[in-house]
Amino acid sequence: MNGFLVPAIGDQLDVLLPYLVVAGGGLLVMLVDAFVRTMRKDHLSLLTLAVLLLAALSQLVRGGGGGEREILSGMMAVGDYARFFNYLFIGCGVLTTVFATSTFDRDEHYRPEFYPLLLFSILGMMVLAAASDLLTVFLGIETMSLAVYVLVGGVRGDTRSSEAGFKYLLLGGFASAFLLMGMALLYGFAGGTAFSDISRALAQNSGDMSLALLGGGLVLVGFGFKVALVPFHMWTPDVYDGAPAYVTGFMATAVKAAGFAILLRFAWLMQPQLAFAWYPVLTVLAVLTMSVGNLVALAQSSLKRLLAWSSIAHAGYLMLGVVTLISPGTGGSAQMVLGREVGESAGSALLFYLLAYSLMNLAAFGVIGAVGSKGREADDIERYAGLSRRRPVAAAVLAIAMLSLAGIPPMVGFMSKFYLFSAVVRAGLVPLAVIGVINSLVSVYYYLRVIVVMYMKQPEADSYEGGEPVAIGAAALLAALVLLLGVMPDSLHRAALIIFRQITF
Amino acid sequence: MEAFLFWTCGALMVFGGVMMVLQRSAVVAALWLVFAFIAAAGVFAVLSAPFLAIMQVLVYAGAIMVLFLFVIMMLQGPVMEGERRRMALPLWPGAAIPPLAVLVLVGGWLGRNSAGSFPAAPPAGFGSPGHVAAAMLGRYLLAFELISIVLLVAIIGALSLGHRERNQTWS
Repeated sequence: MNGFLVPAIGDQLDVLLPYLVVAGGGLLVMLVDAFVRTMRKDHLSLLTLAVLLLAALSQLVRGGGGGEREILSGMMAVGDYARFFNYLFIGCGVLTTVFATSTFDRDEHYRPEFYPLLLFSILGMMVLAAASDLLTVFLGIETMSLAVYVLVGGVRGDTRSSEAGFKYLLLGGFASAFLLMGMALLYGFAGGTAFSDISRALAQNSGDMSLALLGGGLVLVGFGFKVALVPFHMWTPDVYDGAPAYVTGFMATAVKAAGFAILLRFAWLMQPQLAFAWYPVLTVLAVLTMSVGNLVALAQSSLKRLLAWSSIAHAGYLMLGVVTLISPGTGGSAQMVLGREVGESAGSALLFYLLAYSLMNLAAFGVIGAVGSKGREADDIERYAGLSRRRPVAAAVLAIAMLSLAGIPPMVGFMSKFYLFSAVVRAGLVPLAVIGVINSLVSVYYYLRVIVVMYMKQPEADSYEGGEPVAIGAAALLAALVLLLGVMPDSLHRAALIIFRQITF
Repeated sequence: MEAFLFWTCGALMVFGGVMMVLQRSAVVAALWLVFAFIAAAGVFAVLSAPFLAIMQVLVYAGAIMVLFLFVIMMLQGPVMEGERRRMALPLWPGAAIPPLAVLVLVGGWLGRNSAGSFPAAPPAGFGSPGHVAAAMLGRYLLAFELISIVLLVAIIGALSLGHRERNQTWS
């Protein structure tokens, strides 16, 4: 038993390549920053973009065969599901790099540690999306979160950023403790940390169910914190508001997507035996999250806080998809063909929603970062007055993002809500769908308010008029994608369906 | 005998943890944490993991705690005088969760293994350095590498956040 068993990872290198590229790229960027001393840090941003591009390309390298493949002795399961999320994270990373660099250029204040930390947090997310072991889940979350804590709190001389970072760190550590405790209980229940162990123990109904229930519940608290579900959302407005806009955009999209990637997988894992407990709990969480998020967003005067509450509301819509996945209509239904179909439509709608949400949110935060002035972000909604005259492109991009977030037809936000709510209805959960639609009607008010201010009010002396051409260009690209996918969503939706079918345990 | 040692060490560990939280002086709290770490090492030793037990004492109770104490003493660790002892009401449900979890854990374990019987002896060589190394670089290779990234991120974060204070003017 003392002989060394060096794992044969040679034949897994093709699948591991993107992870190695991002991890190695992070190290490289860090070292380049240490040894190449210049005041401008453009080379770091270009290097980061190159690393992310290489990581995206290296995902194309894979030794044949669809489906998920377990690697590294079952610690990760890489398939199209993980690849989909990897593309999403990498895309968010590219745009965040562009937005951040343009902000640094304007402020003439560079944060060289930003780039390696961004890459490491993306590595954590990528690991998280492919995790098939509790240990991997925890380490993925910690890698991601630690890096994001520093990104949030690391703006020098900005007390609000420090406060936000500190709050996020403390509450995040608290949530991690819950997560870890839950994982310990699940380990006690299943006798192993691998998802396959847990699903086997659930299927055989061996072990103490109370351990599984409590453990799963505590793990849910940990995930709920990361994606900002309502009882665990208190940090969101302050942190989103205090963090610089480029980091907020990253948190609202990539971090949230990573949280849902694992939440979705975990709910699917728990569904066979524990749906009876998870279903009502998640339903309550979803309804609360949607309603509280939208109602509080109505009263915000800061655009970043408004988008923070809106991101809570959107987490609620996304939870509707998870609820549908494990609802009694689909529940216990791995065998029932119809149930499985509904579950798949809910899962694929979720993936589509995450992508759409990332596009429109990044566009919005890109504009917020770009139209501010040196050292000050465009935060106050009233000061967007007349932006359409001063910066027509930025105003149009922000308007498209807002319309899409509200779910107005030609935008992708409408299609994603349509897919999601129709999956909810197909599962027979009409009341939930009605609550969702009412909520998105409520949300139209505060999204449109921003547009009204931008287009119908006269510009005033203190109105925002900044314009970073690169950032606004990137945001305009996103807005174009929002329109394009809103008009032709079908191929992407079908791809999401194929991807979701692969999750198996 | 094993069961007795296990429960004793476990109880001491929980006691040390509770005492640590209740202290007002950071230095005393850190010393209680050392106590809890050593008790945890005892639990590891009872569970046939001698190498882990030694490392727990050397690394955690030894090296890391010395660092902690250094930092606390250098910063003139705050002594929280006159802190309100009463917890705000909404916190109580939250405070009830950890003990509840422990209760379920212990209860479930006792329910399955009547009278706290211990499982059969582990295979020979279990818990030896070689075994730990094989697990760390074999099945848990990914975890091992990821932890090094996590630590690196923590170092970068600490450096970049701490660096600020040099440029800041205290007023």
